[in-house]
Amino acid sequence: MLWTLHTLVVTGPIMLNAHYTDLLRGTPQGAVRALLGDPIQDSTQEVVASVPAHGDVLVLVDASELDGFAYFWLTYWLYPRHVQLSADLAAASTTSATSIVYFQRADAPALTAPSGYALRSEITAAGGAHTLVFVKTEAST
Amino acid sequence: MTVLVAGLVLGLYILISYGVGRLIVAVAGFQVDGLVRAGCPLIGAGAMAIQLWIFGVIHVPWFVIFLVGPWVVVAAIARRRLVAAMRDDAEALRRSVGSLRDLDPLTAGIAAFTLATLGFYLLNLLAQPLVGWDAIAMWMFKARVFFDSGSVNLANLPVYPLVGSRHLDYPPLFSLMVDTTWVLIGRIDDMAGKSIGLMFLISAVGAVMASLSPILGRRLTVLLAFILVAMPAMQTSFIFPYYIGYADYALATLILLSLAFLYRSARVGRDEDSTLAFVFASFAALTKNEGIPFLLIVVVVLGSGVAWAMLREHDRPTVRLMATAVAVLIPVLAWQVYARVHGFNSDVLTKAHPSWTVGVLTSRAHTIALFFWHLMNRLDDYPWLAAAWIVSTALTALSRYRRLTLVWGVFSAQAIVLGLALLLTPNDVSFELNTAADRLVLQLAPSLVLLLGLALRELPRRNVAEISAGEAIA
Repeated sequence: MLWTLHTLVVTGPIMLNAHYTDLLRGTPQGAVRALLGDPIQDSTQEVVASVPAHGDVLVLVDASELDGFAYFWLTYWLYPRHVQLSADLAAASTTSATSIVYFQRADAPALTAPSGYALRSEITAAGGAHTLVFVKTEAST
Repeated sequence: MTVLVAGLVLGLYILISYGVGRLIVAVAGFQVDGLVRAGCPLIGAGAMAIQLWIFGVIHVPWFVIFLVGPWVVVAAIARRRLVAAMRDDAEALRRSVGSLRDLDPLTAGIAAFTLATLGFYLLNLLAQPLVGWDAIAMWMFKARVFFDSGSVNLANLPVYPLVGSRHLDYPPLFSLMVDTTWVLIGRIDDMAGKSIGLMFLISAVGAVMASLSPILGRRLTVLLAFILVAMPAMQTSFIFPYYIGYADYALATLILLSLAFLYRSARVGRDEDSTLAFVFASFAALTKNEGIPFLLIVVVVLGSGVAWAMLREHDRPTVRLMATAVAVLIPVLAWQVYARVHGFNSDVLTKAHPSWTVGVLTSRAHTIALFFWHLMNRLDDYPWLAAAWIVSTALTALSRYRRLTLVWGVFSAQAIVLGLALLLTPNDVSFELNTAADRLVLQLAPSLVLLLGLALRELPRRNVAEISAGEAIA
């Protein structure tokens, strides 16, 4: 009986603090965030809709994302596309990937369309961040 | 809308899993009661998951018609048994609903809290976005890879320095269950897929109710069922979105069911209950690597029972038991062979171990003990779980009830194996403790509640009589 009471006292607040209002409003993103940067998280679904369904994708991210959750996150949502992750913008000019996605933070340098690629979409995120999606010109149709 | 659709898909999946599981036990001629019914969704879900695996091997597309079709044919052939089974189930459901009217206010209140907690969990599972590390990196990712290729094939994943962190060696059953939900609707639904943990929770509650109600009475059983559902250790699995061990609760439920059937097994290694204990232990080994030692422990126990019977009573195990054992063991062995052939090895096998000196082991044991001691001071249920094991151990020692000793022994052996895994890990022990300790506790906590309930049966008869009298008055 004591264990039951203890369970009630501990579990009750945990359950009642679980952002149900946000969840029921259909804005769970406001309640629960993944363990990675906002620019990647906020524009992932639009990126998935923008890049071709197959082929390699070079994803350019901030260096702080390289050793974290970003690789797993992006390989999950972009599957079956093969993801190459890099923090080096120069990789955009040497890659043979079908698409290039650049998660550009507000203070990060700009990236113009590399030779052979065309800008397919530009997604603006909060805080001045941008996500640029480039697609190989022969794959863009 | 997304929540509603995911909820409907989840409901459909659990219903079909129950139907397939119920069909299997009916056709196999098992005696069906509450405990078997509690296991039916997992039997069905496991069977359909393995069915998809086989389809991949023989190049049958993962279409819903091919998934459900064979079961419809079996149901048509065994329609008399199926109709009888449905009548039995309807009658059992009617009795269960009818008995709710007889609950005393306290029991009814606790039962209401239990249902409310289940409702909160369901809402969380369906509405929280998919953000958990292991879900994204491992379990759901594997499900996507399998679904995309229509086969259990991880060999073509691109090489990446971090690929080892996906734990490709982990068995495929959980991801294949996720795939089953997607095959049923013909597309990927992340929210429905990540919510299948609810099916395991429902089975766990059913198993505890069916196991304990006849021996403890309704009030105490409902109290323990509430603890099983709502104890803080469960929150990592059903409330917190960053939870990093996605299949641990599935493994916990499979271990719980195996122990529940083992407790009921009057002729260890030879009867229906032993068969089902073996089935769930095999499913555990096909869910996570921690299930493999559990299966080995169960094999030793059941094998001892078979050997004893053959030597002393010249009694051989039945063909049904042997056939079932082989049928569920093949996928377990097949996965181990597949993983080894493709070089998907556990850290324990691939990483360099430190030199095991007495000093290193003592230091690690001290670190582990200290870590769990600090957990005891936290505002959660670790002290209660420790107390539950101590009470269960004391009552088991006082009792001479062989089957309780058996369940206690298997449970404690699994706990020792997990402790040894922590002690002998090639990784940094502090890292392992910080990332894995709560998951290992989660794997054992439901079975500990069951063990406590079974052990309470050994309380002096007067107390049990009081429980019954209390119920009679209520």
